[in-house]
Amino acid sequence: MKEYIRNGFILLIYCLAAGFALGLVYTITKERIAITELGKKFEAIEAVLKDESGKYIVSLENIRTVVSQVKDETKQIFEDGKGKVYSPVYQFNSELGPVYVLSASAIGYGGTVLVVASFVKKSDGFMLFSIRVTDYSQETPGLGAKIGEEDIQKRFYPIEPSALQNGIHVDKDANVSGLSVEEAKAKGIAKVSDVMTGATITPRAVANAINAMLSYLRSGVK
Amino acid sequence: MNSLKEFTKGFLRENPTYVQVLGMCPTLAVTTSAFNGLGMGLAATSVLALSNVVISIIRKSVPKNLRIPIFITVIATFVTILDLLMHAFTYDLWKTLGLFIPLIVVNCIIMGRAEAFASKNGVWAAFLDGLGIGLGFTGSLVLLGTVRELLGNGTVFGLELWGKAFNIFVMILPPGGYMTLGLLAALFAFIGLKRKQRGEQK
Repeated sequence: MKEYIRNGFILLIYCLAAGFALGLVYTITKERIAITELGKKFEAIEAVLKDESGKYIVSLENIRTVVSQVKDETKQIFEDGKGKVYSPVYQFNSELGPVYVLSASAIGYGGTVLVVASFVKKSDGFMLFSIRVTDYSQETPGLGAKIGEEDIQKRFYPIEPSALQNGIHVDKDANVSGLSVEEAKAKGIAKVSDVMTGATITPRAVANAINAMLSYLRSGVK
Repeated sequence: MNSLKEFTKGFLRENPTYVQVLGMCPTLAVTTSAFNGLGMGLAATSVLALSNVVISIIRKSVPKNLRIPIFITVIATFVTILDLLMHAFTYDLWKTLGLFIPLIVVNCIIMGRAEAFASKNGVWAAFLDGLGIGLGFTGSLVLLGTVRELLGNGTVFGLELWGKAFNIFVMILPPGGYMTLGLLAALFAFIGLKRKQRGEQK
């Protein structure tokens, strides 16, 4: 009995020392991590407001003002069973019409996959303008984590409102083959099986996140 | 001389990957590119060297039946510190390595060196041992990653060497990892055998 208590006490001392060291490093890196994360978020917002030729559809100045005006507080605001949508939702005015930028997560292979997307409101519904997968750190390197590549993310957008009636699907779930990337997009399908062989779950999570955002926009924003 | 030996034994003679066949999980998973292998290797090296030092310092005050939980605590602390630092300063690498950084805690190379070497030797020797074995591990990962990246993607450290037509896609996938690892392990075994034969002839 005495032995157990002694051992427990020794272990406690080591854990205390470890905890203290961790607390110290955490305090030092906390701010830096927050700044990095925020910077990445800005980058993602800016990136989803660029069209294919690299031109911003909303001026950079406008983006900065809107982003700084909206209270930056991440809260879950919507859930559809497969994906969760988070605040804040940014709204911009562009030549194409009102643009909404929002973020959502869905479960991937190892954890949550976070997606920032922009939707343009058109007369017949919402058009998926662009996406950026901002957090895929729990996905397998070389397989699911390939979703970080921009060329692969481009397979998900742009998609016209008419093709998004039933949301977006990855080609494997849609049971189609032989379509080109553009043909697939016209049907609301993201063709990824040729570039992400062996990883189906990660792109499916991206599709789920996009669908959650779509449902949120359709239900909440007039 | 002795400390030099302590340092270099991890490169070839006691190479953790190809000779001791330890730490296979991150080895196979992150070596889809040379850069990922390098990042993972350096992360493991820093944890290995630092935890070896601390374990060597505390080796006399650790009760025998408590050493595994205490070693794990020390290793886990360094891994968490590394995780926080990488999150703050090398964001992109942290993103790609993701899951495998926390998994360094259970990397058997680190636990193995703590148990087999650091808990029995002085601080300086333990540091050199950790650094040497860690660099050996890094070298192995970079070698494996380079071969896989070159054959699977036509690039080395992101530099394109040949066109996409020559790429063998399977090299990026797990089977490619096993194949490359097996062939490289065979090569190391061959080199070891040759060295031994030469030693006997002398």
